[in-house]
Amino acid sequence: MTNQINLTEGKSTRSTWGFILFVFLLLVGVNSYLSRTTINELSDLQTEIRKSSRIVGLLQQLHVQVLRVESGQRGFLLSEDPMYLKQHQQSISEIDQLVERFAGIESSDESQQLLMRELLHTVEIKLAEIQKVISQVKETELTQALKVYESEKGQQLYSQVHQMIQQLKENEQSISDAQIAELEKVTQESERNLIISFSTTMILVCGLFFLVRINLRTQQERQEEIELQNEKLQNAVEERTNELSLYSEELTRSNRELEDFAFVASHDLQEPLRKIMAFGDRLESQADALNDKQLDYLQRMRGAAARMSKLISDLLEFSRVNTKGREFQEVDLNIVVAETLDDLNVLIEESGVSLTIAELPTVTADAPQMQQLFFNLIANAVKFSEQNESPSVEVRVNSVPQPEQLELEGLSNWYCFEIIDNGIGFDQEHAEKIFAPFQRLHSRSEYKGTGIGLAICRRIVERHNGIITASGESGKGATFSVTLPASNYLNSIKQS
Amino acid sequence: MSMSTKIDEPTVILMADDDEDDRLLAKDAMEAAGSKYSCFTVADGQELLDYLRCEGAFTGKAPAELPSVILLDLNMPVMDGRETLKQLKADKFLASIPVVILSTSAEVEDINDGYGLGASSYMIKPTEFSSMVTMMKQFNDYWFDCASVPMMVRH
Repeated sequence: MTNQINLTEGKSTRSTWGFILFVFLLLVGVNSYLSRTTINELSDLQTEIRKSSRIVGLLQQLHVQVLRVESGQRGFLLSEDPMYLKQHQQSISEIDQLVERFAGIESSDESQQLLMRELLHTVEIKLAEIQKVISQVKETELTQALKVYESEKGQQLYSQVHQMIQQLKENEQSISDAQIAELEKVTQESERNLIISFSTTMILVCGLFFLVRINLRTQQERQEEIELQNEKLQNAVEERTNELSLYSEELTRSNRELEDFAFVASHDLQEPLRKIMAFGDRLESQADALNDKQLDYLQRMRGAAARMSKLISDLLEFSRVNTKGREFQEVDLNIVVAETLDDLNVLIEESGVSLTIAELPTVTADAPQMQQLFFNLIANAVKFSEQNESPSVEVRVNSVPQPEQLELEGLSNWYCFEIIDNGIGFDQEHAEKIFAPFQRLHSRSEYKGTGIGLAICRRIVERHNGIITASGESGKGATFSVTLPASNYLNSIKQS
Repeated sequence: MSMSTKIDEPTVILMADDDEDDRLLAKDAMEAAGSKYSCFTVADGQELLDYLRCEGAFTGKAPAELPSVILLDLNMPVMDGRETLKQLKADKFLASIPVVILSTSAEVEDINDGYGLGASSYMIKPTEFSSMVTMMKQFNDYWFDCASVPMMVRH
């Protein structure tokens, strides 16, 4: 039915979750990689663009400074005012600084780099030229200086510088434009990537949400199913328990009925038997009218009736173990056994049996039943050891742990009583049989008795929550072991 | 109901027992024991009370001397020994008649109940006839030689 939990389903769920996790991690990885690449690209481009604009700025400054040097030179030449020279010197030092700064920047373009170096070189030449003119002026070789100045070389150099700067600026501008275009492209790309990664993530999250929802619902359904199954199981158990308790009640009742029946039957069966015996007696008292054969028949009839009477009274006794049992009380088994030996006095003297009785404990028990138990066991032992030349019967006692097969609680202080004889014994295979009612191992002529004694013993011991077992060897003797708790209570289930 | 063996003589022993065999054996035993007292037998408690009160089947019977002693079985149909004993002891004219229970039961409860309800004695029916004869002889010896019984006449 459905109460079997699907294991393969569980496995597939686990692999599905593993796959989902893998895809999730993969997407996250790819997204992170793409984003990182894009960011790197963007920052590279921005650096490049910033560099380009710096180069352009520096070129602008260089151009201005060269122009100022030029104008300073011209002013000096015209006015010979050293103030122009001062400005001129200042511009020169600034140009030096700019040259230095140029050295620290590398254009992204190779040709641009070469052109820049050329420009710097030309600027140097130009400066050297100007320097030359000025120094000549200082040395008052004005004519010479003018000659140099008017040789157009300076002018040429300047236009060269100007051209180069323009060239560089244009180049740098185009580089910058290209980079900006690239930047826009990359930005667009990154936007696209962002949209893609966002949508995939959204899809993934939605998927996950959906899966979790499904999972939760399945789990809930599973939970409900389990609860339903549990309820069913509980109902089944309750039903079974009810059935069992009903059955148990029924059993107790039928047991009780059986015992009542045995009691009533044996009581009522005694009645006609008593009449048979009584009228037999009447007949026998008029023995003069009977011949020997008739008298023999009559005696056999009366013997059978007497046996039947004994059987019935034994059965009555057997049925009374439970129905007519008394409340438990403290019973000193030493007194019980002493009284038993008193009762058996004649039998013991006749058989010449030697008795060894250990010091016995006091137990909680039904006193008359303890008497009956020890009477039956000791009488049996004496009866069956008679044939031995030196018959002996021993009663031993040992403190033992609670037998494992007894799961009753609240019982303690267990003793094992052993009644040992060296009589005719029995085959171990009959060890259980001898406890059944009216079971006999020997013919009536050999040993008297109906065979109820041990059955009664077993009933008494079981009523006292104990165990009785027998072990024996044919011709060697028998041992009866009774295990009883000294702290005992009447089992209400057995009694009800 | 069976009539007294000595019909003309007043009933001295009144016996209630549902078992015809037991009634016969009791009378035989009584005879064998040499009893010279008349014994009247009835089958249950109701008949016993009717006999004593001249009611029911005994309506019109001439009131006579009440029996000296009653032998009562416990287990009987119609009205058992216990109920009969209760009724007897509740009747001020009959309460003084000694009641001896003669039953097969050796149960402690039955014995205790018997005395508790006012029985004067409790005897267990013996299995053997010879024992029954002995018992009846002792019964007669006790109740008619040793003991004094009340003498009452029905009004």
